[in-house]
Amino acid sequence: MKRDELEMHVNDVMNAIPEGSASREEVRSLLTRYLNDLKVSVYEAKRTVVRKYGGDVHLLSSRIKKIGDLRAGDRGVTVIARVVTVNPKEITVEGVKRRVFYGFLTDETGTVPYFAWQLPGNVKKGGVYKIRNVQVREWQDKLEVRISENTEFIEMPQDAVPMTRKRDILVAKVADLRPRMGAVEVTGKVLSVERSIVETSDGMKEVWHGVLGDETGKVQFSSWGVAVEEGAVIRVRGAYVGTFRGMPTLVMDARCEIEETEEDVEVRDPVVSLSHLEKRGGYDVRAEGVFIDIKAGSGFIKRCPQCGRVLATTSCPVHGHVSPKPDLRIKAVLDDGTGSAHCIVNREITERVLGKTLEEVVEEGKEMLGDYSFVYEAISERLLGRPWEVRGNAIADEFGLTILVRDLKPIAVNVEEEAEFLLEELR
Amino acid sequence: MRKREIAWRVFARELRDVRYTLKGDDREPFYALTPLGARVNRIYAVGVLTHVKEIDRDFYKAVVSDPTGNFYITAGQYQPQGRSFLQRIDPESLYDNPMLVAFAGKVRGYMGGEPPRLYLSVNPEFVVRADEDVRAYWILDTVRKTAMRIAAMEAALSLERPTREALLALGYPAYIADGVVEAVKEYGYVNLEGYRDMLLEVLQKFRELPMPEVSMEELPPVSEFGDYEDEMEAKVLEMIEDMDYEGTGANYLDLLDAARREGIGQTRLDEILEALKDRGEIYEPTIMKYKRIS
Repeated sequence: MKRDELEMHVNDVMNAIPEGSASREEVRSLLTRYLNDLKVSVYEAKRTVVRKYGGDVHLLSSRIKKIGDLRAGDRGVTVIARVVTVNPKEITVEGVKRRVFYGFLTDETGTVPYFAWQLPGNVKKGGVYKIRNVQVREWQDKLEVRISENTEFIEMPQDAVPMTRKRDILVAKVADLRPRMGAVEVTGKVLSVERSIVETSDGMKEVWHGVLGDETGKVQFSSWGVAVEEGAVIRVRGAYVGTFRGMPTLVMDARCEIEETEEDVEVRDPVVSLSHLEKRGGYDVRAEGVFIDIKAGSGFIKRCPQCGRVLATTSCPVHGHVSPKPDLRIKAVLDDGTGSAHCIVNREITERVLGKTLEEVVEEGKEMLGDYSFVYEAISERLLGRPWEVRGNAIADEFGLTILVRDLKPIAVNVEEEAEFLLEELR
Repeated sequence: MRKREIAWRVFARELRDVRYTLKGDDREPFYALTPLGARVNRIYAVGVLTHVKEIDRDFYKAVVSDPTGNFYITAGQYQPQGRSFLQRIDPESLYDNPMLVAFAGKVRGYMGGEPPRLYLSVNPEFVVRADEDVRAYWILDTVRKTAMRIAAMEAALSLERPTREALLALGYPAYIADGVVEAVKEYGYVNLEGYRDMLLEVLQKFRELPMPEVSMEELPPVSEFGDYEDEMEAKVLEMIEDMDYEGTGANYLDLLDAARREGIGQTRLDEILEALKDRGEIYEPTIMKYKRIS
């Protein structure tokens, strides 16, 4: 962490603790210890120091976030935003009618829906406020800002949030990218990149193909004419989303600005719902669900040694009489209650599912006098009706959603923890 | 190409409460519309197999029990896998060795009973043995998804004119929004608290590990296959109508008498009356009087 960045966090802590409870030096050294020695996140480190000196963690003002940076699970965040709409509505909670409010907040990085049990009287449609201490929750695909009785609205001048959005650029997270989105802004880390020269109608061009990641997932990109470096965190403005082999691809061309930024991006791959993937596909995604159909043609198969076609006999429609090569594969439907995907599992992972190698299967089949139906049976027994996590490229095209499975593992739920968590949510 | 139908995660009670089905022209598939707005064509569920019976040659019926009620399964020649699974089960053995199963299949509806009402059963695409892990996953997943439907219904009921767009704007996914709008239209008022309590109960039961097996006494007698619970409810409804001598409702004590003659105890009767009230089929004009809503 840079020196001035640390000083900024020290300032935040100083503002949140009672005057005279600690010196700047004490705060700085304790904060450094948490950050450098104990490797605690900045957020938690600051809160811990504030708590130690008897301060109020809600006053940690550096949790000011742009709307485009909000994440599910954020708590005690401050946003400076324009209240676009204020819609009151009545709902019934435990038999009692209550008036609540919902609408949208916006700043130059994006727009987000909010929900409030109550709003202070000074909050007006179109007003700009520093909104302190909100929570961010996720409802399936979307974020929602939760305003509680601890939320504070401080009026700000109108120009604190620019009125016009610049060129209508949409700030997006990687997982939200869908084919045909135009003019997006994305910030992410370059996970891999390769340079190549391609021939176009305008002559030879340099292009960098690679993978970009953020905390929501990964996406393939191609940068025309601008070099990008592996490991760099880049902010791309004005890129558009194309599609390549049924997966979204971020295309950066001459109209697009690319800048390297100092911020660090933590690349993660949360489990995504199949309904989300059905609409866009995705590169190297994780999904969870239950296998509800094991397709015929799963198990032991024979392929043409030249073209790989699956053969029923020893004759290939293209290559004539051949000696077929044995192989293993699984074609199965995964369903997570929101959507479904056809999963294609290669030989290596099928072997793992079976706990047997292809050679062992071939031997066993000979003992069964060439009847290999036991392979299908064994696969069904392991997969059918049971929950699994899959990882791989998700292809969304006219045939629906297909996942080329790169990894497959059974799901083990932490029953007690999950049940506790859900009880909390429901109460 | 028609999109593959989602295998919905719903508890048995939500399915039991279904009163409306959606079916457009001949090419439209069948949907059971639940009070929480699930448009169910296919389901996936896990529970205890408590009963199997061969109804006809090569035609089997079975009961799978979850913490909230029963799923009814019928498997014939078009469900070869489900049928052969049920065929191999010795029904007597289930009393001593309750078996956990997972199944997925298409929901079918038919009218039956007197007065006629909608019954749902499942034509299984598969039935397989399951274990505690699979059941735990299903229960937690189903709680989560049911909770989302409750929240979506709550939002929809609070809107003056619930539309798909309004629900999408509130952040609900499309596959929820469509059904919820229809459910509000068809069911009008839905007792959401009842469903929320159901989820709390499921979780509380579930937290006490190891999970208690479904006790056999709680299940309806299996001498005769059929929706026993629903039959009793139909009987009680009939009594309420018959004993409403002055149009002010049937007296509770008269009902109790009549119920006892039918072999329905007081506890059971109270449960049935509660259930009927919950579903809006009867109401209590004055204390200890019950009247049917026609």
